[in-house]
Amino acid sequence: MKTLANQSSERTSLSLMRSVLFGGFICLALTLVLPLPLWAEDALPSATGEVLLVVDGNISHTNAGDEAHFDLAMLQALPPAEFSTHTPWEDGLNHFAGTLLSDVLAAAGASSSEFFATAIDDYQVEFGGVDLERYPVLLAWEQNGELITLRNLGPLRIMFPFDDYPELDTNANRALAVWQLITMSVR
Amino acid sequence: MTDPSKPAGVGIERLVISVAATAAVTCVAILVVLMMQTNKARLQLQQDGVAEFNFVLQLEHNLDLLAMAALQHDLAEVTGPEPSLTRPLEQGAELIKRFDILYSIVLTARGRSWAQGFLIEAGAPEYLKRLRQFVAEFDTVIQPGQQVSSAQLTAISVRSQALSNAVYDIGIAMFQSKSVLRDEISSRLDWLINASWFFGVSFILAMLTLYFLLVRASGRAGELFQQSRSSQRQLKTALEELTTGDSQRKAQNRFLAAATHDLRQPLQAMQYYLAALEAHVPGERGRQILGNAGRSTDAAQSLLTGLLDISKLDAGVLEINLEEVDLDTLLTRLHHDFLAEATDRGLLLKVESRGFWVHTDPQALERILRNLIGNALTYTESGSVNLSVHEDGDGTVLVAVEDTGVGIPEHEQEAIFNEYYQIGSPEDGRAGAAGMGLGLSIVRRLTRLLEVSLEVESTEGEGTRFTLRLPRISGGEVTPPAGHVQRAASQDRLARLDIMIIDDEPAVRDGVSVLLQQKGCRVTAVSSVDEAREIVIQHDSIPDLLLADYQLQQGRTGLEAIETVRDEINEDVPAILITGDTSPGALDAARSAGLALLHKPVGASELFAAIDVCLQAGAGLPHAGMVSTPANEEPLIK
Repeated sequence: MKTLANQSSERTSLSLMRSVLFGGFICLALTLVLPLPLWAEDALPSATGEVLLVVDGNISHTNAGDEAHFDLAMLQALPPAEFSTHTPWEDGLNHFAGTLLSDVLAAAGASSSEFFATAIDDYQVEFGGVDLERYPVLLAWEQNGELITLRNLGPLRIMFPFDDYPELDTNANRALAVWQLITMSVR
Repeated sequence: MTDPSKPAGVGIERLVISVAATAAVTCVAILVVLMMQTNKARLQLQQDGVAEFNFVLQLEHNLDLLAMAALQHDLAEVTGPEPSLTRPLEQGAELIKRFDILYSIVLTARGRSWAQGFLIEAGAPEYLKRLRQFVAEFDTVIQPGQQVSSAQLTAISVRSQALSNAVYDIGIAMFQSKSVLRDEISSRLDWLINASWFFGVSFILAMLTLYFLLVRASGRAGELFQQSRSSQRQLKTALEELTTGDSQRKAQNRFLAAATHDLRQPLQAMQYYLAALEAHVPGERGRQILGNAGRSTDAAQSLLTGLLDISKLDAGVLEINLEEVDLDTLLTRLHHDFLAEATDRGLLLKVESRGFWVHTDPQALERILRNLIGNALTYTESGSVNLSVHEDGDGTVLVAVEDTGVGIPEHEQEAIFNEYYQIGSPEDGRAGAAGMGLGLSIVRRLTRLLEVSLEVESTEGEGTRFTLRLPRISGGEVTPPAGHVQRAASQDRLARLDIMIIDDEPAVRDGVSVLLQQKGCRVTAVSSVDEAREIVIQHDSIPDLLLADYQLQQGRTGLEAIETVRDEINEDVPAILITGDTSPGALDAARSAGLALLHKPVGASELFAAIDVCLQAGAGLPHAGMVSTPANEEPLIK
């Protein structure tokens, strides 16, 4: 678990942590705000709807400059996947649907399955150490048959099959189950 | 440990060692696992609280951003038809987003909010209440299409900022408490891990040391085992040698007994002949020579007797028969027997009698005293040899043999009891007469057999005193000395005797015949059982006495001869059995037949005395305690 907050939490002073965090947000904000060049050099179609996910970094398939932008239609075009599971954050059994995280990475032509994840609420985490070949980790946009709203920790959410694979329920993986996911920077 | 010649026990040892080693390795493995688990727990502990802390930071951050968004929305240029204090939220997508994010965390529509639970756990229910109140209050306001007033925006900004600061304080407090606890546990775990390391190293060292010691001890045990085995082998060899040696010694003893027996026959004959010759030697010189010859045969006889005694004592075949012994009778006889020798040497032989009776074996006691007296006479040049009897306080009688001889040096007073030990050099003149120095060693053996003590006091050049301590019997009867009387009487008795001699050795037979004839006896000499029977039948006469050698030709015995003769004449005539055989069988046979028994070599005077006693016994006279007492005769004691 390597969020900025986590890095700072290791016996450093809280004020330092705070300034680092703030600096990270500034940088992120600049990235989002700056106009990006559009180079359509890949087969990845351009996003026509609202962009829900931005994949950048070490990828080979792009549709917006160095980045791959996905709208809901593009995501829904990917192989569907789903499962039901209990989560540490909700009561009862919840059904999640979407596509496999590995399929999203493949669609973007990612060179590895490790990426730096950023959420709408500016949560950041280094996603890694999970065997995506073995475990069907979801990028979910539907919960219990409905699209997930921002108020319900959507629109995109990384979800582990905690019930099917109890060994996945670790603190580290809980930190990797990012909600309100917006950016994946592939390493 | 790998030596294949090692005993089977080593296999078990190796098994034990391997089991112990396996256990030790298992212990180490468990220790390693424990350490790993502890380390994992330590790492998990370091992670503990991180997620919660992250949440606090996220919450604070989101509240800050909401406050900022509200502020920015309030300050935004309104491009509407008329300036208003209200701002339409269509242009405030950022504000709505930030509010929705806060809502998703604080008041998510579904189920229990993780954040709520956490904040309650963090001990901040008041804060949670405020937070929920804040979100609920503006939920209806901050919606797409709604108008929001500047005052409301200001309120959102201010309250959001306040909530941010509050959650920040909560986070600080939580962080501090968690980190303190964590550090404490962490340091304990560190200590545990260090202790584990220390324990592990110590344990391994201890096991290695133990293993080393065990291997060494095992090696040492193996060595000891080998040594023990070789010792056992040596012991076995020694035992075998000893056994063989013992059998060799037995063979030697048998040879010695046989040789002694064979030597006795001609020696005895010679004694008889010399005794018979005495009457035919008129010259003084001739008698002198004859006397010397007699002494030589006596010495040879003494030597043979000593040899036989020693071998019998060592063989342990001698039985002792304790009875009441009249010391006076014994001492008087001894005085009589040794008087001639003492006189020859010019010594005074004194005997003091006190009328004591003792409880002991008479034959053994007489043998002891004879040896002591003979020894005293041998080693005394001039002066006297005294036999004295004293009473000691504790119910014992002391019999002392005292001389005025050369004495025994103190350092030799133990050695004199050894075989063949003689004071002075063997070439020292008369020493040979002592019979190879066996006298005192026989005495020592006999006193041990009788369990009586023998004390030696001696001063070199002044004399020696041997003292025997014997158990006394009170109220004994004193028998007057009768030696001379007996001798005188026997002269008369012998003169009228009809004696039959049964002996297969012509020399002995003839010697005894001549000797007895000189005494006036009528002698019939035969060589076998059958001859004896024929003579008895032919002559139709009853002999007064039978004198038979035990071992006859063709495996016949003197016992048979005596019984045959007694059967023929139908009368138990007195009989004396003479034997060189010391086997218990001959003894028992003679005893059970009630015969007197004489052992070779038999001197002339001894023979006469035996005949005398035998006839007295036959005539119903009381026993004189002499050598030939029937049924009590010991082969050792003449």
